[in-house]
Amino acid sequence: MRGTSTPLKTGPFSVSIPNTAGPYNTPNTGGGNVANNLMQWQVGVDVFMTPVSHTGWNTPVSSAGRLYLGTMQSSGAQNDEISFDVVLAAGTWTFELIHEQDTGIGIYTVLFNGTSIGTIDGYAAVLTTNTRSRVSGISTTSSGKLRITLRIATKNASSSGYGGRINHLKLIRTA
Amino acid sequence: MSGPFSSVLPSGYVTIPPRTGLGADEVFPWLIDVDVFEQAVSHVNWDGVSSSLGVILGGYKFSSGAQNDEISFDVVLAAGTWTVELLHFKVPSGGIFSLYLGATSLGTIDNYAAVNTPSTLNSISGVIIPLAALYRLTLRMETKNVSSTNYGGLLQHIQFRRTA
Repeated sequence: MRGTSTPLKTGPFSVSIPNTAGPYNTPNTGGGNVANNLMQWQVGVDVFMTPVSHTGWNTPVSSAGRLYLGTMQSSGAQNDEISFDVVLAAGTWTFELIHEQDTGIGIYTVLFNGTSIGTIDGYAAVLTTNTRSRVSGISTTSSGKLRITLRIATKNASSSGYGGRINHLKLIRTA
Repeated sequence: MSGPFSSVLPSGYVTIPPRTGLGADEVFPWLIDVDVFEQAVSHVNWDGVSSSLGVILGGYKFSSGAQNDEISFDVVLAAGTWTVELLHFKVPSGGIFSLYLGATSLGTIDNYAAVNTPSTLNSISGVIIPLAALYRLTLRMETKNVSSTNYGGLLQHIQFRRTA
């Protein structure tokens, strides 16, 4: 699954650092775009604190047997959503969600600045903890702040509801 | 004290003076957490996750147990002196983590214990980074303790801390 986000706001990221290799260095890619390549290549988001924005999705529930020992749960209403702000460098990214699948969970629509970059189905016929799902090949055209939103807009035909249960999310830059 | 924040805040706010002499490297973080449960940028037989009660962060990422299994993460480090710390799960079948930045060995951390020992902290300090850049940290299970039955790697978390 591939997608392209909307262009990001260009930020004041200019720093004066030579683009040369050190003893431990994996060479930078991207030619002279030094500042961009010095931004972090992995961005994790702890989902249990209050999100920057949400609709019906702000209930942390501790549960044994889950990575990070809990899930952030939505109310179960259609179109519940939760948002996090991250700063990403221009490049190609993979979005990964650790979540809990169950019979009453909906489908997560993943939005970058309001643009859908893919969906992840939270439904399973039996409770399935610690599922890792990915959307890869996400292209960000410039560095800057970006709002990631998960919205339960739809559901699997077999699902009984529009619930959302997430443990953690992470963005990994691949190019 | 002068700074971009001091003159615009209303009374009652506390202003924190920046360190003087900030260079380009000073804008980079001094503490970098690496969540290991999600996808690694690269791995060899090291992508299993298991949740476990009584383990900090609720679980660990485990290798297949074969010799030379490895897992890699990309981080951008500022020039300076760093400590890299592993939060790991020592087991009777644990191998020895060999840590590399790029192709340079940083040292080893033993993942063997006679009984299961989750949430063990071990670190390698004094890692000199001469230049701010993207670095690839690789953990490879090359060797094992003579008492261990296998080369297993069970990893809960990684943290980089800059010390100078």
